[in-house]
Amino acid sequence: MKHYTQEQLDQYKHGDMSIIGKLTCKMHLCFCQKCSDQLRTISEDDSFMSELKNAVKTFDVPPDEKELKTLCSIFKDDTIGHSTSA
Amino acid sequence: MAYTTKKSLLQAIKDGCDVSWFEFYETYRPLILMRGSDYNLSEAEKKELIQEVLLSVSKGNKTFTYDQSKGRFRSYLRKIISRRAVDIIRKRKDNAVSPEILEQYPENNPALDKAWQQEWHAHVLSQALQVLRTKVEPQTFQAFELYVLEEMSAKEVADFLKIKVDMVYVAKSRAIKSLREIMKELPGE
Repeated sequence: MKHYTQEQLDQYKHGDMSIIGKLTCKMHLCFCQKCSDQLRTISEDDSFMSELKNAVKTFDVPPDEKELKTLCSIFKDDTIGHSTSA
Repeated sequence: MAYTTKKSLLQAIKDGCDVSWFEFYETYRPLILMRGSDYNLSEAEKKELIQEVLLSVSKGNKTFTYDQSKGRFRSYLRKIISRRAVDIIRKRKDNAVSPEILEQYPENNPALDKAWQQEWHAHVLSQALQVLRTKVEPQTFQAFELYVLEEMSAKEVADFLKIKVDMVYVAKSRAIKSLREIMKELPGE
């Protein structure tokens, strides 16, 4: 029996397959445990991606030039360009 | 050994390499600011918290080396931020600090501990993404970034990068695999 690749199952899950491809894949998934398990791992990957997206949004803090200048002065460091993004 | 790239700052800290105050600031500033919010610090107080944490960690030097005998860096950093945040609250003028306020922030506060776990995990994820950028092909990273972070559809990404839709999914799969490996290597995860 020919199994689907992870990428093909990902396309199936996200609706990027042709109608015929989708129906064939759906039928295959009804009796193929291996591909069903693989599809579940793709769902886990999508949750992981969602966590990553939220983390990136949360940590996207704009730099603060004044704050950096103060710190350069505290650490007596004139090697840091104040236009460097923080 | 001097540490100069952001590629693996967490690893450098763990390995006992020299870390510059600026690298530390760039990497941990968002985390410290977030932690300041957990302690309900004002914007000015959060800036002070950043300074105080940096000074505590580096002891005023331009570079510092983490002493492994202090245990896990994650726990060490949590403790430093927590203590400096409480110090800042204590310093508030006009007797604005009642003992009740300070009682909200003991060293072991389950709500604050839980928040820290989540914040640290998010921090590691964001750092892993930076490392990923250096580990995969630029087109793989770009496809992944557009598809996952910019929320473009696979077809939009494929059209934009002039590649097949299949390749967007291949890029996603490769990037996730690499990210999981990077996460395993980063200290504290």
